[in-house]
Amino acid sequence: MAGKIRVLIAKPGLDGHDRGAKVVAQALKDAGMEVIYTGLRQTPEQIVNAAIQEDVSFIGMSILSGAHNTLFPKVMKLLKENDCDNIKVFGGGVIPADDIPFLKENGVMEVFGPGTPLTEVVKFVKENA
Amino acid sequence: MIDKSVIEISRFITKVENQDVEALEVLEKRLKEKDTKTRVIGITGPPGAGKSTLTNCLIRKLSKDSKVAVVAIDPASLFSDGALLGDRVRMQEHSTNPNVFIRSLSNRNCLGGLSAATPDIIRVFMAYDYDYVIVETVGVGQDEIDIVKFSDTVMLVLHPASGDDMQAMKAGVMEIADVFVVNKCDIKNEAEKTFNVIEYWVRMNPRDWNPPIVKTSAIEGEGVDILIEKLQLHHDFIIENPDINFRRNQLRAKHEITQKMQLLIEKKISQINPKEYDIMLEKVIKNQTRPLEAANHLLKGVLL
Repeated sequence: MAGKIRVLIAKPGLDGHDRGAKVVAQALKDAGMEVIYTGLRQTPEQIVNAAIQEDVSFIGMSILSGAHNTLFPKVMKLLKENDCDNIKVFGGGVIPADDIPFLKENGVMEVFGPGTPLTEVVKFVKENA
Repeated sequence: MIDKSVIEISRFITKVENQDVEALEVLEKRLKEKDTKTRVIGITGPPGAGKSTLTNCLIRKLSKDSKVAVVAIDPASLFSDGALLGDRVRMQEHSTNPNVFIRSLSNRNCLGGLSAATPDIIRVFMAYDYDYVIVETVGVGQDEIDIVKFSDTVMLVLHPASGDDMQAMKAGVMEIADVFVVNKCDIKNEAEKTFNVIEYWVRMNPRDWNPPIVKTSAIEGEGVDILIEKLQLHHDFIIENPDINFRRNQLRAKHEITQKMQLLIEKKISQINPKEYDIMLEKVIKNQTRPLEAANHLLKGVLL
């Protein structure tokens, strides 16, 4: 029996807007994946713990508060510390284009800005699974 | 740092969930040398009754001095096979508690309220000496009752206005409850009505163990101490009356043997030559062969 692609969709930090995260979660579900949604206002520690317990292959983080340059690298660091940097990380939300290179340097695989077609996110996950 | 065993357990569960036969053999071997004391509590009830929120309350109390695992099952989409697993949302306060391990599962379109691999996943936590495994089923209707075969104690969570006494009389799910919970009891009058319906049902269906009915308000944490007390009472009862669970154990064993036979046969089926399969498929589509005939032909190649 083949395994399923498991993805954790998380909302790090303090913004309370999760429509985007939920839309992406739905799209991945409709593409046949098992998507774990953890709810609002998660710390990097909570996200990484959940990802490890759920044994996901991807973490997708949505952030609209502007704290991405702090929170994303923190998640990456925790994954590395726990020898779980096989888990791939992508992000979305409101992230200025200028910040994307910094995030990628820190190991974030892809950042999807506003208006990204859902098919593109699905394609990304499937191709990198 | 997260404990290494957590990562080990997590990866092991994935293999078991995918019904990797080798992993299942390792699991059986590990458990053979073990006298496990793990208590399995099943939580079932209709969608929106408050199963996850109540689970959250139980974790809060139990994890103070015990290791608690939670297996939370949500339904898969019939169309895409994907699933949105959202039970963690209500339990996020425990995600960094080293005594708590939460795993979300898709039911992978298995009927009965659990996924096919759930019993094996429960056993993984037994093998790793967890004190409690709380299994939260898919939100059930009237007949998703597999949970009874794999729990020591089954809690049925109902909410106010969840149906009149006719619903209670016909529902198979009523018969499996060891403890009834009327959640959302802050909705007072309606909660009272539901309580009365259950009480009537319990009196009409006397058993060796008459299930207690506990009123809770999970969101306020109300009634949880009494609930834990009742769960303990049921636990003591089955310890003192080991015969009571004979039927349950028999059901469990039957279910397990059947499921494992299916697994092994499925493995055989996956060995069918795809080319041969396509030929048969074509023939069935063109009405040159009947499905049963085709199945017989294909199976002969791998089973004998």
